[in-house]
Amino acid sequence: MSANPIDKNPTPNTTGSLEELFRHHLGEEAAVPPRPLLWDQIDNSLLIRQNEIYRRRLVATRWVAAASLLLATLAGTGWWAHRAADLAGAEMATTNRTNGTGAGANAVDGTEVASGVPRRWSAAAGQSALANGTATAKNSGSTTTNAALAQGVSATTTGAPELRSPASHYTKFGSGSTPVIARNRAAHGGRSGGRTGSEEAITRGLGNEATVGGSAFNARSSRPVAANTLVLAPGAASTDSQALVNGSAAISATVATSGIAPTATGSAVVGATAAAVPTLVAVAPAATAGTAAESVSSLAAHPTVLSLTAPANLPDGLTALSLPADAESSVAPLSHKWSYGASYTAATYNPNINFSRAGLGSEYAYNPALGADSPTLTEAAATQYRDNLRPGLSQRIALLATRHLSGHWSLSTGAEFTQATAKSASIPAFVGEQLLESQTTAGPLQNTNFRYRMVGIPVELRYANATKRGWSLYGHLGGVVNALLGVRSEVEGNPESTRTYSFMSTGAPYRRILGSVRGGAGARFRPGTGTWAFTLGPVVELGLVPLNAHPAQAILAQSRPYSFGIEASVEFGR
Amino acid sequence: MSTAATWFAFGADDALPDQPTAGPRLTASRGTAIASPPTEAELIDGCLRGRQLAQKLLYEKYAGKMTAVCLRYAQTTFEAEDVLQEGFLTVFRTLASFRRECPLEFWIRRIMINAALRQHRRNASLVAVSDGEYPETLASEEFTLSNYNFQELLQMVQELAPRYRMVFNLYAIEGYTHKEIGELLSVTEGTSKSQYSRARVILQTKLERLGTPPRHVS
Repeated sequence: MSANPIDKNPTPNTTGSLEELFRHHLGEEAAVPPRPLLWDQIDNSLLIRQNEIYRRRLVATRWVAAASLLLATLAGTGWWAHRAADLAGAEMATTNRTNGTGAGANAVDGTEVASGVPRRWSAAAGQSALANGTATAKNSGSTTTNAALAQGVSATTTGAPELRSPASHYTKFGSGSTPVIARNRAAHGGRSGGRTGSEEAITRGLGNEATVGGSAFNARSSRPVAANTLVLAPGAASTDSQALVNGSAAISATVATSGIAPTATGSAVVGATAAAVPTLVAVAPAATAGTAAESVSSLAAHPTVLSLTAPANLPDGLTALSLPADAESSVAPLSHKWSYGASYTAATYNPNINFSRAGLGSEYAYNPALGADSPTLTEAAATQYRDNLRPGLSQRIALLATRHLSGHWSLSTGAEFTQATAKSASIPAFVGEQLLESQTTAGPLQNTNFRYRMVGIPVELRYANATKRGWSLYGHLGGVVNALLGVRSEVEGNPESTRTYSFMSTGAPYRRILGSVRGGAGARFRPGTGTWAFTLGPVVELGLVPLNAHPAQAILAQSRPYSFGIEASVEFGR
Repeated sequence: MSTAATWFAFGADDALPDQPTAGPRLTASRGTAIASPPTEAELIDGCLRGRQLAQKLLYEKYAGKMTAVCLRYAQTTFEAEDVLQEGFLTVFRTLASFRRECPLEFWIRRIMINAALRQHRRNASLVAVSDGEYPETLASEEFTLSNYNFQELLQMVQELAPRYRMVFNLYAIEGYTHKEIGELLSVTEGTSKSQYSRARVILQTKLERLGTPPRHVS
């Protein structure tokens, strides 16, 4: 019994060609009521699709929210770090302005003296004036020059508590034959009351980098980092003799802590302090007064004379001075060749496998249970697999060691672990090369979930401004060698079809060792303080070889895996 | 479930577009449901808004005709249902791209045909059907239309080899040209012609075997 309404309205005995006959009965007006439950299946599929869309939106929303939170946190941290640095800098600048006015006419750029080392060297506050004044004072007892010496020395003496002289710097005094290690992270000049002519000499030197004593002084450092902080206290109302003693003590402190006494005959070493700029080196000028040198030597032999003023006794505002981090970090990285970090990458991964085996011989066994049609059925299933192949989420965790090369270039390597997923569908259960059943002509598509786990060793060339604080750009390009630890193929609703291949599995349809190239770029944030950096940016990876072990295609026609996503990493140590 | 009985369920929340704000459909209660079916535009807009009822009504409106289409292209009822299901899912997924420049039924029919062709391509290499023994050519004939019914003719078409069935459906019933068929099936125009000729001979022979002799035209 036909359900076609046309059949219920028979046309009165008309005739027609074969085409008209079929068009009349099977054409546009033909209708057959579908199976009643078919709508339920369609509705269910629509619901599943809708839920899938909602789920993807939810995942995307969560990722966006997490990324936004992360960026907000970074931005807040960066703002806070910059603000803290700015506040510290402002405090420093305020103090420096007190002491560093009247930049000395005698000050010159230390780099001209520093044997070509591109770092700044500073002479002490009022060195020229003090050097000359000391010589005069010892010989003529001039009150004026003594006062000048008193001021300079007083400042030096008071600052002695924080004087340190690591052996990474040396200074040549006088003839330059005796190295004296005197690395000082200088701070501030004294705030002296009752300053006379010498005050000018002191203040002129503060905050300036200068050579001292003309050609009699050379300084060089292998690590030009100011390490000592010299805090100058008010040298109020020092008497001439006291000032001289204190000044000598300070000088001796500088020299004695270096462990090397100056031996330059006929040279006078006087207090050397530095100021405003963070990286300063205290030096001593050469002078003509030999008695001063003797005084220094004698004081150096008596450490008790070098007892330092307790920081607690220092006036407010002068004890807590610190240098902005920029000053230190701007010169530090060169000595830290290695840095270490970790990264996390979330990407979309497409295995991009073409399991077509056309052209391959029968040595790659098809499923014998499917009989003689196995190659044809498998080929059709492989086509369905590839047509429905969808990329999945790839997550990668890496531990990296980075070696600074030169300039902004560095080379990094390490180890990484990757887990990637993909999804496909086919009417028969198809888990990679092997067809598990022969139902290929009808029935719904069966979804198959694939999971790949890999460990790898990346080697990448990186370009980044490692010393820059705040935000900067970076890029990297390199290669990765991966070992495919395992692959799991899971057919939804068909647990018997699940296949798991490990690295040691024989007959696995997947390649064990994979190579790929990887590149990325993005933004890099390094806070104002601390020795870490955070990077975030897109990364792309292209496989060099197919994921399947037996590709039938020519080399250039082979399908290779690829992924692209976002990489976030943290780096420590520079 | 009849259209009239379910139409009220659009309700205020499910109000179809293009309805007057205070129209009877929005105020109709279950007992006074409006009997008039929704227009095509209302169905489309309702589906675009994700209204389940609109989707069901659209399905009910076209499922019968589309089932007949799918049966013609499929070899079995099960295969036809797969095509029908895939086709309607495609319809609901891509309805936003329907530009309303042609009747919705025509657009849905094209989607069903495409779904059937996809199914054919998937199965083409898997199914081998013998053509049987048939003469190469037959004389031109005329048939009395009322001597055959839908089921008989459908069975004849379904028994054709897939490649013949596709070509015959596309050419004789859908009205495609051989050039268009060649593009759809990735064959040459000549191949389409020869396959159609072969399909025609087979069907003609089968019609003769039904016992109702065609009237030969001189």
